[in-house]
Amino acid sequence: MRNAAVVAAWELRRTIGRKGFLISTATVPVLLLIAVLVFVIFGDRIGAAAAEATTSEPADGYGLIDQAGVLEGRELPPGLERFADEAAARASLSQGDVDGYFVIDADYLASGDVRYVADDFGTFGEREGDARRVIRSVLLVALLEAHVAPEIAPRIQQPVALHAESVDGSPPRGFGAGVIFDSVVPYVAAILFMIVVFTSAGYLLEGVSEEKETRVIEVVLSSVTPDQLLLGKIAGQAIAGLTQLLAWVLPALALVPVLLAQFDDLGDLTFNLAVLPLALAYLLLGYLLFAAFYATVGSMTTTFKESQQLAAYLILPSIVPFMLSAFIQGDPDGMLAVALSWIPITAPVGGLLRVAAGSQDTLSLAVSVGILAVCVPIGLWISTRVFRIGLLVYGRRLRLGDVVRAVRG
Amino acid sequence: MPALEIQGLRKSFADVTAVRDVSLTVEPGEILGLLGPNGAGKTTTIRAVMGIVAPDAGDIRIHGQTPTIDLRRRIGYLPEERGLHRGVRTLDAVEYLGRLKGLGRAQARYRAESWLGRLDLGEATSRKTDGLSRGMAQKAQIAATLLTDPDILILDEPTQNLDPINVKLLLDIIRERRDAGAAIVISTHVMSQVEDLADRIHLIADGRGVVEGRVADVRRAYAPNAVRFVSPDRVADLPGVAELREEDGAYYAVLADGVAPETVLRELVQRGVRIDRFERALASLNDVFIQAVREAGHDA
Repeated sequence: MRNAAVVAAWELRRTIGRKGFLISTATVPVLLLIAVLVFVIFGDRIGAAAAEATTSEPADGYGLIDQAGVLEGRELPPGLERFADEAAARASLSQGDVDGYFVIDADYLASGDVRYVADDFGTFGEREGDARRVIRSVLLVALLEAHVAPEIAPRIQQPVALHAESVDGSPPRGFGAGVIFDSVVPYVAAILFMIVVFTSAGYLLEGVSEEKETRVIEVVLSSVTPDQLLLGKIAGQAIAGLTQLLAWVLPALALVPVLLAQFDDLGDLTFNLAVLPLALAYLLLGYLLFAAFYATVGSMTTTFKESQQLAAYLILPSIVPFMLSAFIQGDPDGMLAVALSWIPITAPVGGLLRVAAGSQDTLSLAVSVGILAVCVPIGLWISTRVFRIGLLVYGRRLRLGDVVRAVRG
Repeated sequence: MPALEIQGLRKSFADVTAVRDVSLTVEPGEILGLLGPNGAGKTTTIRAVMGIVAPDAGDIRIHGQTPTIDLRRRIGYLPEERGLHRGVRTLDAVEYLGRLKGLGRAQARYRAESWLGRLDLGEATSRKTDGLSRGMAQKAQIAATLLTDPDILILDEPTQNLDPINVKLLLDIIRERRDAGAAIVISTHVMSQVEDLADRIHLIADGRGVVEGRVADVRRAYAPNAVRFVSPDRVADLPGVAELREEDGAYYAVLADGVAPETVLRELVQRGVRIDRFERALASLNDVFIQAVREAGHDA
């Protein structure tokens, strides 16, 4: 283990000392910091511009059923029409007279519950946002004017806990703000996977190729076994990748709340941390799988350039799920999405995208992780076999026959 | 007990037999010249000792024990195919190789600095390895080989890329290590260095050991029936001499079959020729190499 630890420390030190690594590691926190500063300084102007951009089409109006009586006797502002009951409001909605209607719950003063019923929330939830602003404004004014008791003050601060639903009662389609943040963790994890895995495995590939190309490998192998060398390299690059991840995540944990606080609609949103273990499982297993692939490629080829060319054949299929992300988003538990999360080379990205798209099929996700968990040790085992043979073959690339012989022992 | 012992080594790669039968020993305080034409099996033999390739048959012992990675880490190994990690400081590159040999960080750093200084690379320690000349890189690799003061040294073409000054420096270090009790194997095609340095040679051809013994004995065994003598007088027409020529300020006389050197010496004395030096001509290792390889039928 000591030998592997020495190799790991060397790989880690070399990787974190690379300019490319330092720049890519610093980029995310710096961009985040810039975003925070920009929104803190110019937040109002940006918010107004964004609101203008997302409400390009004026609303026809909204219906209102006031079961709590908080707006009773009050003149409603233009664009807001009172209905006696929900059936009448629904009829108006189906005729297209209103964009949606609000139902102020009878228990509103205690609960703040207002339902908003519509059949179009906007692609990015912008229509829901408009509706939220309208009802919030009306209720806030009414409550203030009624000189509400102090215990009602929190309701004035946050008068609406909106529960959006479709006419047929199903969850709203499209990316509502809440939906976006339910998906943020896995989507961010998917992107980080791409960056961290390919960066770390890429450095591993470069390290193996370089040691072969410079011939230093023979001296190294006189002191450590190929297995120790491979283990050390994989561990070293994994720690480097984790370091990079932490360098991104820790500042993000501090800065993102500051950023969210700049938006009225997003300030109370939280990340869906439940998907974090799954995201981490895909991240770890994906890295190990690609590390095994890349170590194999590095030991098969004669130069780093050649190994990069060969590695491209592995990168391309692995990012196919990203190319098909629209299909995965549309049907995260469909045959295509499930297949992409079950094929080992596409599984890490495919699985993460399914989670991001709100897959409810826990069993097939478990199968996906299970397939990866089985393939990783097999991949590593094959890698060590080829690694032992390939490292000392100079001047020519290992042929498929060589690889088969190496695997057979 | 030999520091290194190989018995009946055999190794094949697919349908190519690289080593058929090699047996040799190296004692502590001895330098063995491992010779052979290209493709003879020297590098495979060395790699088998270092555990880089697994032998198909035969036995390797280091200090009488079956080699383990820990025993092999006690060997200072300078392979023919060698290099340094790119883009790192020379000192760091050498220190890392010392760490792999089992040295602690501080010890590896201290020894790396010390050996790099000894090899006149003191000012290059903080220079990136990419900026080193081939000779400097070679010396850095030699420093890494010597870092642990190994009691066995295996050096494959150690003077490659070195200028005469650095060749002398390296040969002096090798002798120093031999005098300190290290068992040393040198594989090289520079026969003059082997003649100068080695106590014994082992010549491999076509995967087999074909010549083995002390350098002087081998040169004598392969010597032609000839004498070499130095005289200020003019000498010609010696009976029993098939060919007489002047060579490097001396006479070189190839004797006819059945003629002994004593016959020629007696004739010179009887003629009153002044003789400063008279010796039986030894074969050069170059001659031994060529003759032995030809006899072995090796296609170099």
